[in-house]
Amino acid sequence: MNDPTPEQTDDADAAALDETWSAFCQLLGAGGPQLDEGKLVRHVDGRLARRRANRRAYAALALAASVVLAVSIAWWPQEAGQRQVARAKQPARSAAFDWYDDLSYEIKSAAWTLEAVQSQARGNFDRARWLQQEMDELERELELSSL
Amino acid sequence: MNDTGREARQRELVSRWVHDHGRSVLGYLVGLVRNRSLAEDLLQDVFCRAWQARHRYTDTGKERAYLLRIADRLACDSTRRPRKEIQVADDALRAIEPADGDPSPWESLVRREANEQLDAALETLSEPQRRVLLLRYYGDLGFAEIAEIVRAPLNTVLSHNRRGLSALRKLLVETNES
Repeated sequence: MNDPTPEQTDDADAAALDETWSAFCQLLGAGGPQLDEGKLVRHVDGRLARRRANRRAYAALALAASVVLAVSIAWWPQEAGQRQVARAKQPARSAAFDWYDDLSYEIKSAAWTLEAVQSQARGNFDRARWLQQEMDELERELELSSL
Repeated sequence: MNDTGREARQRELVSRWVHDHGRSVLGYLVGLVRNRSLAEDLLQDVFCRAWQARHRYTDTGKERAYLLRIADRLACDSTRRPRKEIQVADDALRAIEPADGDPSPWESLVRREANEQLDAALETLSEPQRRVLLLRYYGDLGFAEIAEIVRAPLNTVLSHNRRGLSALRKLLVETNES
């Protein structure tokens, strides 16, 4: 008996594979999963509804955030203007001081305030002392006139 | 379109997809991930994604291919990325599932045998071979379309098909002999 030619071998292989494919299709057809369509549609509806609700919540959150941002942007120049006015009332800046350091600036500002209060206090003390001297002189004049 | 109209259209389209293609997509997913509960979870995700991406789908009469493409991506993602939820074994799940339409003992036996044979057949295939053969069966797709879905050259797809069928043939011969 002669050996099969390559063409005959290919044909036999192809036929065998076709047969296997048919058997596999039968297996898939017989052993395929069952599906409850109504339940699946309900679950998909539920998931999509949840996603819609989440999207709405995110949209509301984004809106609130944008409102806060807009208010902040509108408020900032006004507040910055007030700061500039406040800074204009501060003492003249000394070249020897690092004005770019905010904390140092605050300390310096507090020191200036203290100095101003002390100066005022000294002024009051001087006035009080002058008044005392005036009163002392008046008392002396009164004693002399009573003699 | 208002929300009510969109929801009605969504329900109508999803219902039609589920009716026409639900069983095929589920079969593909079960065959690929080999886990019924995970496949059902992915199936819901497939229809959600399909609805959300419906604007990208141009109606060429290949709805099933469109759904299977999404299913393929999700199944591949899920097998590569372990899920956090606890997976219930299929046998345990079958034990607590209500019986489908109360089949007769004979039908149950036939079905169980068919399932076991199918499990054994799928077990012999590698993942790429399973993808190709299952897409061919459930999607009724040509090899060029399968190559597009699995993003592989046509010759690779043909090779997976041939090797998969050879492995199955070997299994069937062994089963018949035993």
